[in-house]
Amino acid sequence: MSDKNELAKKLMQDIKMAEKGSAMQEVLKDNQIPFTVKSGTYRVRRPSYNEQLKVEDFRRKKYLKLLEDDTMKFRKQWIEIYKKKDIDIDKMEIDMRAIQEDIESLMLRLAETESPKDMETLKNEIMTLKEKQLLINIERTDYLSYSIEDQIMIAVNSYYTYIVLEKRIEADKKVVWEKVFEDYESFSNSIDSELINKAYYYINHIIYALPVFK
Amino acid sequence: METIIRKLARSHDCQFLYVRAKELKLKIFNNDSNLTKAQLIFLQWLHIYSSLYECIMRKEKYINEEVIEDDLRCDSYLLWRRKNKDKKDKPIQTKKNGIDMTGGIPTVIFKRK
Repeated sequence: MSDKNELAKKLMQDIKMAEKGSAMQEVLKDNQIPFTVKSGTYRVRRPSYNEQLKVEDFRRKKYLKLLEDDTMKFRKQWIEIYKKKDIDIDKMEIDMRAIQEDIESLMLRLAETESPKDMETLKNEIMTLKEKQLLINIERTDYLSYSIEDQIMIAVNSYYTYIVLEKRIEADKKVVWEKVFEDYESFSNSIDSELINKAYYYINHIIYALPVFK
Repeated sequence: METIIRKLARSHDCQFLYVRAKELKLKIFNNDSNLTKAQLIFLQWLHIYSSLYECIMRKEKYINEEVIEDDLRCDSYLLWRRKNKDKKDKPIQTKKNGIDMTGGIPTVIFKRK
């Protein structure tokens, strides 16, 4: 009976994986990604050249605004503030690099090993180290999340989403795509969390996080 | 996202499409330009897996289908291959203090007084 349960479990996992694969094929086939929420069919897409200029314009203005705010600090300044509280962000980065060296050393051994038992041991050791590294990275990211660099990235990604988010409208037997929000303020104040969350999720498939400083 | 993309990229269907795309003028995507992040990552992995399947055909060390199917073992192999390539590409010192080191015959240096 337990074998049957195990087989059923594996089959469900395979089905889920196949569904994810099909969903990903839909995402990959074009540079626009449609998705549905209760309120209808929407899409996000790659921006046009003019839209990219608008994003750059927004980024520059936002950056200036953050610079003028005395309560906003750069990552370097936050690191100094934390040092006074005995929180060493630089040491976290050194620790992450050291763990990465250990991971790579184990990976080189894994590449050359042919014994299944050794493979399993090495894989478990690598995963343990990766989890340790991830936890340090999450902690470091949390500490620096109020920095100007991080706040700019969040704001620009949000503006980007507002610019390219469109709704499917059927009019006179034609399908047109219209911008969902008239302006950025309406987007920012929207209470349709399902729409906004899904839009952010798919934007992550379209753009790399925009660099803060070129 | 990357796990699913890798699974697709190494599938036989996608590998066939990638290898034959140029020959048969097949389009991988609907768009010809302005690729998304996911599309770029997919192309990168198509290329990597294509090169790994060639390594298997050449019967190279430490690589087989099992390795390709396991992301961690695959990454480990790629790291190993990169490190070994770096070792092979390191240039051998051919001259030292003006003396040619490549040949086995000692050379004579004439100096002005």
